[in-house]
Amino acid sequence: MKLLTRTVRNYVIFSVLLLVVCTPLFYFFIQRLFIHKMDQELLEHKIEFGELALLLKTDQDLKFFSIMNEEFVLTPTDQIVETDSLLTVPIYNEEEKEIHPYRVLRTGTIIQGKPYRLQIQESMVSTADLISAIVAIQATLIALLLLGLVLINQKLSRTIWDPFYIILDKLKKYQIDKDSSLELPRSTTAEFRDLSSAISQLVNKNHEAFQSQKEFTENASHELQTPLAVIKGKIDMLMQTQLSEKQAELIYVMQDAAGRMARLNRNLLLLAKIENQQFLEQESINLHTLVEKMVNQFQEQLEQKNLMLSIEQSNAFEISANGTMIEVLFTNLFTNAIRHSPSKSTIKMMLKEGAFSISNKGEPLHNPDKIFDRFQRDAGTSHGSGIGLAIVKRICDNYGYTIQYRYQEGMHEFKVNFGNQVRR
Amino acid sequence: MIFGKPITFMKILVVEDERELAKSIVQYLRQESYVCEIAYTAKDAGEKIMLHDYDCILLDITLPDGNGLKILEKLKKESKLEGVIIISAKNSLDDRIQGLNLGADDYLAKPFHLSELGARVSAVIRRKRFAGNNVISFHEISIDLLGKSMQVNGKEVDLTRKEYDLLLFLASNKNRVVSKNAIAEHLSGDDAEVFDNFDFIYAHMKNLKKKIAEAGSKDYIKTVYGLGYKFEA
Repeated sequence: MKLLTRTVRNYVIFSVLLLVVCTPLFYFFIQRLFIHKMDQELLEHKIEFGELALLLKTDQDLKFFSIMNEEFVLTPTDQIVETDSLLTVPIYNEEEKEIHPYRVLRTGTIIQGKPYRLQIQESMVSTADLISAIVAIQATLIALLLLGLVLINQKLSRTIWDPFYIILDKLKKYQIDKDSSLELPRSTTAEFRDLSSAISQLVNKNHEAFQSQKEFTENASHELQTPLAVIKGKIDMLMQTQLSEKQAELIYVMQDAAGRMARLNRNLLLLAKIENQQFLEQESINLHTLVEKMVNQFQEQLEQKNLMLSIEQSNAFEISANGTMIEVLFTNLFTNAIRHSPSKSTIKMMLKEGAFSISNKGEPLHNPDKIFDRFQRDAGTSHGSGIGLAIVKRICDNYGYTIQYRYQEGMHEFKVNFGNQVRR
Repeated sequence: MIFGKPITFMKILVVEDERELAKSIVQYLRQESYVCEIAYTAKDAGEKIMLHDYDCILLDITLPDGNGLKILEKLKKESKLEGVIIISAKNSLDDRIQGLNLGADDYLAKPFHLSELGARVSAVIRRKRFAGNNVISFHEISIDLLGKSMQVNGKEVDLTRKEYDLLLFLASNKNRVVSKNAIAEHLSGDDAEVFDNFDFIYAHMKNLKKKIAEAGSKDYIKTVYGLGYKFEA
C-alpha cells in the first residue's frame, strides 16, 4: 500500500466513523432539546389555562373556548386529576388527514366546580422537520470539512513527499556496474536532505567497493599467470629428467592441478573482462552458422562419450553482438551439456523463434536456484572450473537476453531468449 | 653436433623478465640445439636486437621498463622482423591483434606448456629459415608440412588430421617428453577441459603408431609411464 493511500485511508475511516457516530448523537441531542422546550411551553400553557379557566363562566363559554383552542382538550371526569404527565402520542390530524406525533401534557383542572381532564397538545411535525434540516446541514458541513481535509492533506503530502519519490525512482534505476554516481534532488526538508546524503554516501562507497573488487579480480588473475607459467615450465622441465614410475605419477597429478588452476584463472579473467565491459565491438552473427561451427568443434568430445545430437531449427536469424562473447556463450553451454551428459545419451538443441535451447540428460540438481552462481558444482563433477555458467549468465545480462534453466522429464534445459535483438 | 647430424645453429632471443620462466624456456629449447640468449629488460632486449640477428624472438610484452610492443615497433622500423612470438600474461584480444598487426608471427598466452612453445618456435623457424623446404625428416619418416601428410620410405601414410597434428607436435618436440595435458590442449585448445579423461589421445596415438608400423617404420614414439609421450629420433 502506498504511503499516501495509507494516510488518506486513515482520514477517511476516521471521518466516516465520526459521521456515523455523531449524526445520530446530534439528532438525539437536538430532539431532546426541542422536547424540553416544548414541555416548558406546555407547562406555561397550563398556567395560562388556569388564568383563562376563571373567565369561563358558562357551558357556552367552555364550548366556544374548545372550538377556538384545539390544543386544549377538556373531558369531564369524576375524579380530580392531580398529576401532570408529559408524553408523545400519535394523534389523527383532521386537516391533513394523517397521524402526527404530538407532545401532550395530561393534567386535571376544575371549571365551574366540576373536575375535568385537561390535555394540552402540540404537533411535533414542524419541530421534527426543523431538527432534520439542522442535522442535515450539520452533517453536510462535517462531510465537506473532512473531504476538504483529506484533499488538502493529499495534495500537501504529494508535494512534501515529492523528493522522496524522486529519490526512490533514482535508486531503482541505479545500476552499480554502469552508473558511477547518483544525482539526488536537493530538498528543503531536513529529513529528505539527510536521506539524500546518506544514500549518496552509501552508493559511492558501494561503487568504490564494486570497482575495486572488479579490478582486484582482473589484477589478481593477471598476476597469477606468471607464477603459474613458472610452475608449468618447471614441471615440464622436471618431466625431461630421468624419472621413476612413482615420480611420473606425482608429476602427472601436479601437472593436472596446475592445468586446472590455469583454466580457472583464465575463466576468472574472462569473467572480469566481461564485467568490465571490455568486449564492445559489435558484429552481425548468424546463429545457425555458429551452431554448426560448435558441432564441428566438439565432434571429438561428442564421439568420445558416444553422444547423439538432435538439432531442431527454423529459418536462420542473426543477432548483433560481440563475436567473442557469443562464441564463449555457446561454447560454455555446449561444454556444460557435453560434460554432464551420461554416455550414449542425446543432446537436444533448438534454434528457433529468436531463442536457443540446449538440453541434456541427467539427475536432478540439489540446488537448481544457484545454478548460475560461481563455483556451484554438484558433487562428483569436479572437472569444470565452476564459472562457465556464471559467464553465460553474465553475457546474457550484458545483452539483455534472458536465460532460463529448467529440469523436466529427466532433461536439464538451458534456454537463451535473444529477445528483440533478433533479425531474421 | 648433438645427435651426430649436421646442425645449423639457430639463434633465439628470449625477452622475459621472470628469470625462472626464462631459464626453463632456454633449457627446454637448448635441447633442440637452439642457441638461446636472454634479455630480462626492454633496454637489454633493444641492445641485443641492434647487435645480432635472431631467427626467433620470444617477447614478453609486459616488461618492468616498458611495453614489449615498443620493441616490436622498433624491430619493424629496422626491418628486422624476425619470427616474433609474443608471450603474454594478458591474453587480451587487443594485445593479440595489436601484436599480430605489428608483425608478430604468433601469440602465446601464459601459462603455456613448454612443448607448445617448442612447437610454435619450430614452426616459426621453419617458415623463416626453410622457406621452400617444408619437409621434416627422421630416418625413414618424412613429414610434409605443406601437404600436411606423412611418408614412410617415400610411401604415403594416410593419416587423419588429428593424427597428423599429433605426429607433428611430437616431432617438433623430439627427444623430449610431451605430456598428455599438453597434447590435449594442443589438439583441442580450451575445449580440452570438456574431456573427462585423456582416452581420446590414447586412441589417436594407438592408431598413429599402428599406421606407422604398418608402413614399415620403426616405433619412434615412446610412452613415458602415464605421463606422456616422447618422439625419439
